[in-house]
Order: sequence, then structure tokens, then C-alpha cells
Amino acid sequence: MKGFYRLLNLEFVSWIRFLAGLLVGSFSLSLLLLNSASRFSPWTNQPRYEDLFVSSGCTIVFFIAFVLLCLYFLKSVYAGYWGSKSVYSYLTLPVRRDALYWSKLLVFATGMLLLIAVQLLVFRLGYALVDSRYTSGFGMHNGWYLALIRSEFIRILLPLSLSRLLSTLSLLLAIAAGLYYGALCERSRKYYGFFGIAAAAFLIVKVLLYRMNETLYDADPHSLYGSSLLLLAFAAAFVWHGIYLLRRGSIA
Amino acid sequence: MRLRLPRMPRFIRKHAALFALAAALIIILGTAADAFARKDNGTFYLKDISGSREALNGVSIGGELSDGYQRTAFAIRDGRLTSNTHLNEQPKRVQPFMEFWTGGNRIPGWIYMAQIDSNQIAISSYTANELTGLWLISGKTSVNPQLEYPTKNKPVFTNELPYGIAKIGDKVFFTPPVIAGTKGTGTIYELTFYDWVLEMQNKLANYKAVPVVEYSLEPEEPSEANGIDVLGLEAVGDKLVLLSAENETLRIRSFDSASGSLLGEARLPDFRLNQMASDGDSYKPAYKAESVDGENRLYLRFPGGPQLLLSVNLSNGVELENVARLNLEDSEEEDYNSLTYMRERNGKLYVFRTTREQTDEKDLPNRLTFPWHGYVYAYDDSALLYQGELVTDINDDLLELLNRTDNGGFPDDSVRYRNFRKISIP
Repeated sequence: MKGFYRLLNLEFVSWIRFLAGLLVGSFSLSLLLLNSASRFSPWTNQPRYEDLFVSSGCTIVFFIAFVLLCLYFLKSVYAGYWGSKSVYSYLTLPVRRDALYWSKLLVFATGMLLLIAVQLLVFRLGYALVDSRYTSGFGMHNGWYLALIRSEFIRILLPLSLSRLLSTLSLLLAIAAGLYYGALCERSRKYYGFFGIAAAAFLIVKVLLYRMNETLYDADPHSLYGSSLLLLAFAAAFVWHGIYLLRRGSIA
Repeated sequence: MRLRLPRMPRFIRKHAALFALAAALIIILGTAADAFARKDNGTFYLKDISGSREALNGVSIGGELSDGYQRTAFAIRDGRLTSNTHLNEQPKRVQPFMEFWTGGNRIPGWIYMAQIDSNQIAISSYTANELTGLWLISGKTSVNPQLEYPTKNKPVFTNELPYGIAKIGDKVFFTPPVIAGTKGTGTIYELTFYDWVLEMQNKLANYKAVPVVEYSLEPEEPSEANGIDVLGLEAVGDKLVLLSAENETLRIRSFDSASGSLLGEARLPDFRLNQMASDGDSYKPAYKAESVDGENRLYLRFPGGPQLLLSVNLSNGVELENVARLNLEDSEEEDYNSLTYMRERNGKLYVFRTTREQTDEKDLPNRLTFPWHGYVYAYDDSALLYQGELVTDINDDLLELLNRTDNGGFPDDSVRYRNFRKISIP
């Protein structure tokens, strides 16, 4: 356990430079975009904050940051095979190989949570900025709460009901475990694993498309428990087989 | 050149992952907690406009103010307001009322349309799905009333034809809402529909409408001014209620739907019809009705200069209970999606209604940006005991329309715009 904790922090420290850049970058870029989108004049439409947030491009910034985070995670896995091939040192460390797996996955998950947290901060600060700019001086009472619950984007990042919370958690877990599993499969030349990853990716895209357009599916409501459990099952399978591959040392 | 970050203290390096994870979770969970803490921070109170709130003692007026994402359930019990907001798992849409096609005469789950087809009246029935807003044609039938209309070429009716349709269980009844001066015998028919898909029109002879009740269309004191205008037919329990305007009165007759016998009748004096309804005591014929079978009551509402609200008790003949004349403020107007809900409780008539404010400011982009108001009234036989306004943030949702430069946008989206719904006075 002590070994795992040391490994976890060691791994995280190696991410800090990248993470700091990513978080500061997405934070400041989003606020800059919101700032320019809310330079209202009497001749521009002044939409609700949650709509402005999407049309300003902040969600695209988040998407790009998320993709960069995923790429960095893959890079951190593959870096073990470059130069001094540190993966061999890692595999011979006097800790269980599970610890190696979990420390990498947990650091990646922490990165995701940090990105979401920064996005929520942007949403809050941006609200204060935009709310002060409506030219009619007409704001929405209790508007921060209303923007939170009415924004499709924020309801994916910060679900306030059980079924949606489970869905978001299972999405994040499936993405994290799936990416890592993909890298492990490729390294150990177990290409059949990609069938599972493809199936999970299909499900992830389907669930995300549904949740991005929930107001369109009002007559056909879904609890999403089925897809959430399936995604969790995929994630569990990826973790189990990923650890198995790592223990066998077949990735070397 | 590599960017060198200042070296972190050893303690932080040893626990960096933990600190980062904790910081992320604190922000995320803190935001969620903040959202839950703020959900009931919206404006919600009852403002007294006139009268004493004691008039609300012993009655409970409930309902919700909701959009697709949340619903704030409220209840006014003995004049005290409580409210509580719930978040929806998934955005919900409320289908708009289908009154456009049914002429205001709403029969839950069904839509009826009728039209003149040469000398006959062709009636179609549709099943309506309230959840999806879809309606499908179900049956067709036709009635051939032996009437001589005062306008020779084209029959004119007091109200749209579906006003003459009433449904009791599976039975559908119809009477033509004819205008004064029509010659012949007024008849309430029981209709039989043939299946539009499975049966062919040539079998129509098997689906003859059966007369159940016949009534005179001749006024008791015939003159130019007072003919009989049939307004419509309603169903309460197993009774049929025929509404007509004659001799400056509103005549309400109750018939047994099985035997067709007259169970009772009542007349409301000082009732004049006027399509424009501009002056004092005249009302538009396009009334709204709601029947409550359990109470054996029919609630009627006639738009007009002052609006006429009526509660009619049909337990024993026909008894007019409360007759309220509601003065619509000059600055307020009824809208197609405004709502009026009324119930007779403890001998008083309690009303909840929403109206849209009317202003003379012509430079506002469109009238959909005028504010909404929700009012509570208590009447004791036409005397206004209490009027209050339920003050909420409902008009904040008009923000984007008020701040719009073009005339686009249409605040009729039940997901994006809050509105009062599910009002009940149990």
C-alpha cells in the first residue's frame, strides 16, 4: 500500500507540468472566449448564460483539453518504451504490479476530475461576468442555479440526479480504463482486446449523444441504468484483463 | 530550452496526487452542494392585492411552477404558502393544450372535429396522446339534422361544432350549436362511429345517429331579438347538460343520458351574447367548461368584458352555486396558454388564473415578452373576498427575448420556460 502511494505521487509529479499548463490554459482561454462573447451591444442578441456558454466555444475548449489529457495519458504509457525504456525498471520495482496499474489509472482519473473542476470554476466566474453585462440590466434571479440545471453540457459534467451521476461516472471510468487497456493490448499484441474497446466506444458515443440532446428525447425517457451498468462492466473487464496482462509481463 | 518550475517542497511532492484529488473533489462536490442549496432561492410568495387572506382558511390550493428541468411544487393552505423544488432526472416537455382544433371543448384523450358536408355534419374522432402530442384518426360518422338555417347558403353556428360534442363513458353525444332563427327541432343524438381504417364508408347506413333528447328551438315569446342560441353540450357523470342563451338568460338544462328525460333546469339572468363582447354584461359564446364527475359539478367560464365564472351543481336538478364576474384589469389579457382553474369549496368559489400583462409600449419586440402573473381569488356569490398574486421569477425566463434584436424566438417551449401547471384545489 505504501509502495502504491509513493508510486501514485511520483507518477502525479511527472504529470504536474503538463496538467498545470492544461488547466491554466483551458481556464484562461475559456474566460477569454466568454469575455468576447459577452461584449453585448444594443444590436446583438443576448442569450441565456447557458446558451452563451456553448456558443462562445467554451465546450470546444473543454473537449480539446480532454482529448489532450487522453493523449498525454497514452504518451505517459508509451514513454516507458522510449529512450531508457523505463518500463523495465517499473516492472522490476519491489511493489505489486497492480500498484503500477492503479497508480497510472488514478492519476489519469485525477486529471479528468481536475479538468471538470476547472470547467465548473469557469462556469461560475463566467456567470458573474456575463450577468453583469446584459444591457437591459435584466438578470435572471437565482440564475446561477438555473444555468447549472438547464445547461446540457454542465448536466453531463455535474449530474444532480442518481441515474445521471451513475452515467457520468461510468462514462469516465470506461474512457479511462478503455484507453489504458487499449495501450496494454497493443503492447502485448493481444489485438482481440480492441473488439471490446470498440464495443465500449460505440456505447460511450451513443450515451453521450443521448445526454447532449436530452430535451429531444423527452417523449422517450431513459433511466440510463442499463447503459451505465454495461459501461461499468466493460470498465471492470478492461481493468481485470489489463492487470492480468501487466502481471504476466506480456507488455514488455 | 526547458522551462524549469520551482522545486516543490518535499511534503507537497510526497502527497501531490492526494492534494490534487482532494482539490478537484472539493470544487465538484461544493458546486453540487451549492446547486442544491440554491434550488429554493427563487422568489415565491403570496402578495395580497385586495381583501383578507382569511378567505383562504379551510382550503388548500396546490400546483407547480415548472419547466422541463425542475418543478417547484407549491401549496397555499389556510393562506400560508409553502414551496419545494424538485429536479427532474431528465428534461420533460409538456404538450400544449390542443384547444386550437377542438374549440376549447376538451375531452381527455380524445379530439373531435366536425364539418359541414353538403347537408350533413361529418364528425371525426381522434385519439390523442397527451405525452407525445400525437393524435391519430380513429372513427368517423355523420349526422343529418332536419334544420332550416337562417343563413340559407351556409349554416352558421353559435360556437364551433365540437362544442356540441359530449362524451359519457364510451357513448358520444352531439347536438348542433345552432344560432337563433334556426327552424326545426333541436336534437341531442347519440353517435356511433365506424372505424376509419377497417370499415368502408358504404356501411354508413348502419351507423345512424340515434336521437336521445329533443328540445324546442322556438322561443317562448317569439320576437326579433330573442331567439335561442344553442351554445354547446357538456357531460357530467351520466348527465347531459345543454347550454343555451335565450331571452337574455343563460339556460342550463340537465338530461338523463339513458332515458333522455329532463332532470332539471336553471336560468342565469342578465346574460347577453356578443361575439365582440365589448360592453358591460355581454359575453362571448366561446366558453370553457370543466366537469368534475365526483363533485357532480360543471364549471363554466365565459370570456367577456367582465369574465363570467360559474359553478353549477347537478346533484339534484340544476343549481347555480357561485356566479362570479371577474373584472379583467385593463392592462391584462387572456392568452391562449393562460390558465383558469376554479373549484367550489365551503360555499365559496376559489380561482387560480394566469394572465399576461398588456402594455401600450409599442417598441417592445413582441407581445410574448409581456410579463405573466398568477392570481388567486376567493368569491362568495359574486362578491370578491380576496385577491392575491403569487409572485415568482417566471418572467425572468423572458430574458433572451427582452434582449433580442430580431423578433425571433417563441416562449412556448415547456422545457425552457417556466409556467404554472397541475393546479388543484382538493
